[in-house]
Amino acid sequence: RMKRVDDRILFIKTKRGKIRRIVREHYTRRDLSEDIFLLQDKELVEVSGYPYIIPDSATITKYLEVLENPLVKNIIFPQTFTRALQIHNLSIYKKIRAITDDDRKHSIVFNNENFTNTFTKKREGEYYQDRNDRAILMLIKWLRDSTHLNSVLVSENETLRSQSKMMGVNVLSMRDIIQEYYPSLIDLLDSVESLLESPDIDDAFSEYADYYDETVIESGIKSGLYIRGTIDVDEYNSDEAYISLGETNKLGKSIFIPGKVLRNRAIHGDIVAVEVLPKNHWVSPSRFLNNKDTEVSTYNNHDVPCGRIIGIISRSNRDYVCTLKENSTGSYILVDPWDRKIPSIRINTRQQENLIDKRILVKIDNWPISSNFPNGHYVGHIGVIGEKETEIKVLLAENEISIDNFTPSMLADLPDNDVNNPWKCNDSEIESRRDIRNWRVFSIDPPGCQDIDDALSIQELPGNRYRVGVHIADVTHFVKENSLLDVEARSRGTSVYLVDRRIDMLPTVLSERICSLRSGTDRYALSVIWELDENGKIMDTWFGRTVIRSSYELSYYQAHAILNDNPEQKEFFGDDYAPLKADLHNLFNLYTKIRKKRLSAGGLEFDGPEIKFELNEDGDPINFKVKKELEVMKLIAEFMIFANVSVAKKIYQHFPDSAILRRHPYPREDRFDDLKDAAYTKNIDIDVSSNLTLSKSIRMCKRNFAPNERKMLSQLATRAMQEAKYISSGMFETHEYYHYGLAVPYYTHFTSPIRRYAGKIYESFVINIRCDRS
Amino acid sequence: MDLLSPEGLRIDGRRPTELRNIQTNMGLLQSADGSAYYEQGNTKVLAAVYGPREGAMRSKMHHDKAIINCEYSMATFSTGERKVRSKGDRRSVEISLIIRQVFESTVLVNLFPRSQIDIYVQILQADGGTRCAAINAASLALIDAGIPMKDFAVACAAGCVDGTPIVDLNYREDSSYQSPDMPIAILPKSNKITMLQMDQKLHLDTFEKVLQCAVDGCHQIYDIMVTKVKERTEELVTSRGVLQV
Repeated sequence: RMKRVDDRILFIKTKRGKIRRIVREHYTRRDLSEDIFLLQDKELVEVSGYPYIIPDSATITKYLEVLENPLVKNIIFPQTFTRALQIHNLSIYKKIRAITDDDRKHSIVFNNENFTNTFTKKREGEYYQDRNDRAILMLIKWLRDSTHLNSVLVSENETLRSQSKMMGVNVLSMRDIIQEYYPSLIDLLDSVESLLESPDIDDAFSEYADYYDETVIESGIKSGLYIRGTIDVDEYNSDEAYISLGETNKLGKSIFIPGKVLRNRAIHGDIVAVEVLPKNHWVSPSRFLNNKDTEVSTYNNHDVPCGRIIGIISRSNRDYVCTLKENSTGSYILVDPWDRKIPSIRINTRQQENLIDKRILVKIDNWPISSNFPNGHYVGHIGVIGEKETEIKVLLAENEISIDNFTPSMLADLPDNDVNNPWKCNDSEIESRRDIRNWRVFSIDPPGCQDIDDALSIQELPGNRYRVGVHIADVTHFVKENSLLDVEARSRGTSVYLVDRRIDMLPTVLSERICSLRSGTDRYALSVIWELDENGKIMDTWFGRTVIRSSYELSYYQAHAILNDNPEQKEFFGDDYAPLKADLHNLFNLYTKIRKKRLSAGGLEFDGPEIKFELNEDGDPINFKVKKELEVMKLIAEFMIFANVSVAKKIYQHFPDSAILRRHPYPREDRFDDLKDAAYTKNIDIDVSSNLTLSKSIRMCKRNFAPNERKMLSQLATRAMQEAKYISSGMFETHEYYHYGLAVPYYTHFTSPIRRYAGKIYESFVINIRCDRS
Repeated sequence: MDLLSPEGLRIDGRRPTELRNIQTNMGLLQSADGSAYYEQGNTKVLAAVYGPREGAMRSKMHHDKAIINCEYSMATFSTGERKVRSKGDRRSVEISLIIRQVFESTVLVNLFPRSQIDIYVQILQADGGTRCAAINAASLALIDAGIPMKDFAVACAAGCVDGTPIVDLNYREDSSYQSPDMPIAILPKSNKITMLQMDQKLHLDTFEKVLQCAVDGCHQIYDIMVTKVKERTEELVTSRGVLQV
């Protein structure tokens, strides 16, 4: 199947400038046509109408942004070009790979150079560009003759176009393709083309320094001379920026970059290389400067390590929401980004009157050394400034939250479920799971909740023991790994909850119906079932796939009412009332013991009040309420924590190098300064050496502080916390898995697979471990 | 440049378990007792065997077995740029020693006491896998010389890219930091390993996979070598009129 046909003879310039002749083997094979046929088989509903685009080298470089757009699909990149790009322009090559890796774009790199039917040898005296042209023509010809794909060459190269027309092969320009198949992208096409026509604006700004050479930077970073980090512009003073250092760097926590010149055209979020300035150049950030200092003191103890940017390793490059400055005239205008950390951007547009009152999306292209501002181009517009919908979209765009609908191809694999034909569990699947439909299972959620991902059950066992179960909706059964829907959910990462809407990670048919543990119907679940003693100590744990039938969808208020013997609930539930109440009481008792144990190990509880808005018919807020916290809410939370800890331990046992855990590192001591100062006003000394001492100290404050003052202390304590992070167990030491806030040695997110992707990954983990069905 | 593309092709278009094209020729040097020319991709090796013959230096001889001398050298034109190498070159000495060790355990040396067997291997063109090619060429040359051996000594190198084992590394692959280089030599009938080397670091779990990949590569080469030896034998036998085939 493999035949050696050629030796590629290349002439390469070595580092010292000598020319070397290199010979490499080149094999061709017949088994590559399968890649193409695989594309054909994926005849998905909305892609079959679109042609397969084969772009030539110039088209790829020029229109890459158009090709990257999520709407554009069916691209076949010839290996002829990707091979060269991998060496000469790695960033374009990486973007091409990002396109082909994304299943939703249905695109591939086709190895035409190694395919027997499309390989062509270089002829005597032929230029390599002409040989490449011939190779592309052979590819197109083969596609037309041997496959059923509707393929189109996209090129503006005259020779290529005329030769293809002679061969009877379809050739179009990028503009033709967009106009015919992707008309909504015409704006994008215009902006990409106008970008190439625009001359470099020269502000004659001469203070920026050239970036150091890439190799110098790389070796400097390796040897420790330069530092690599992400630049963080100060929220309150956009002239100042910081580069965070790791926890153990001798210079301190961060390097300060004062002023725009030293920042050297880096933009918030970029990964940069920094050179530390000599000590005599160190200054202090403006927030430390006291207005009363009229003298310049030679010793200023607020000076921090300073540095300057000597190179940009990678640009953060997202779309920024901007508005036009007032009085913008001319075709090159400055726009102000909504995010204060981003500098004004210069764009070229012919639609000024149209855009003056709108929020627009702009992408940054480059920042020439003599220019005051970066150059960018207009990508699209969001809506009129000030309108509620627009401003909501602005927030979503600035936080990179996608609001696209799920496409039909993503929904194709999901089972049908409608009023006349509701989805049911399938007998053979039930056979392969533990059937606990006869258990009394119930869920407790906010009123009106539709996406129920967890449910509980409890049974009394002899010897003062209890069998407690936490049952989680089985999402992995419906969303197969690496299916289109899985890829989309992964890129969303989580459901986003706004005041008036929810942007789902998974389609409603799953989140609110098929996966959701609704009462009265059979549902697939993943369960953690413990045998606990009366003190909540775990005697045995069982994990596995189950089938449940939830008996009741309770709201927090209902559960609370039942626990307090509310007569209305007694009437409502009738005969079912007594056992349900007994279950809730048993759970409550166990919860108290479990929680007490955790808090006495140092668990913290600093949750502030939660606010709920009341909206009128137009969706505008008219009032807000403080959510009343019921103990039942803490009960559910405690059992979810309990389940997450059990699962984390189990997964870590089986995958010690690669378990996804969630750690909460200890806060930095100096961040407690505000809290300590506040407590000191009443002569209380807060001991911040551990989470246990912290919670004890704060509880002691009860006597000396009024209730609202205590709330403020809690808030100050919360501000000192670091963020919890997902980690891979192989990258950290065992003691580092500790979760400071919850005071548990192992933690993860297993319990919310419908709204958190981490939960879904966990289900896969659990399923991968062999579980006992009995 | 990635050694293994996401489509599963290496830089020259081979898949991870495919060997380069192999060509061999035996009996081309008349003055030697046995000789072989072995080509694996662009690596070309010439091996010549003299012996068993009377030992040149009495002091080095063994009373109950033959000693094996081996000399591995690379022609100055074997790499891209002409490079003058002295005979005592460290790498050459190391590889000569390795080849000697392989054959000391393969050749039935006890049949020839107080003699020596000289193996000379010259690399005419180097494109990765030279020590393996040298061993394979030497095996064929020894067979051509009619020296009895327990089995063929077959050598092949393997590496791994991102957890996928790849067999028969060419120059670009074995000099790349992306893959370790593990040349091995085995006796195919018993799968006994007579040489095992490795550079770079490799996780213990991956090691098994890569070793198996190299062993499979050796078996593929063994099939080719056996076919060649059989052809050669047929040629010799028919040309001497011993058998009508």
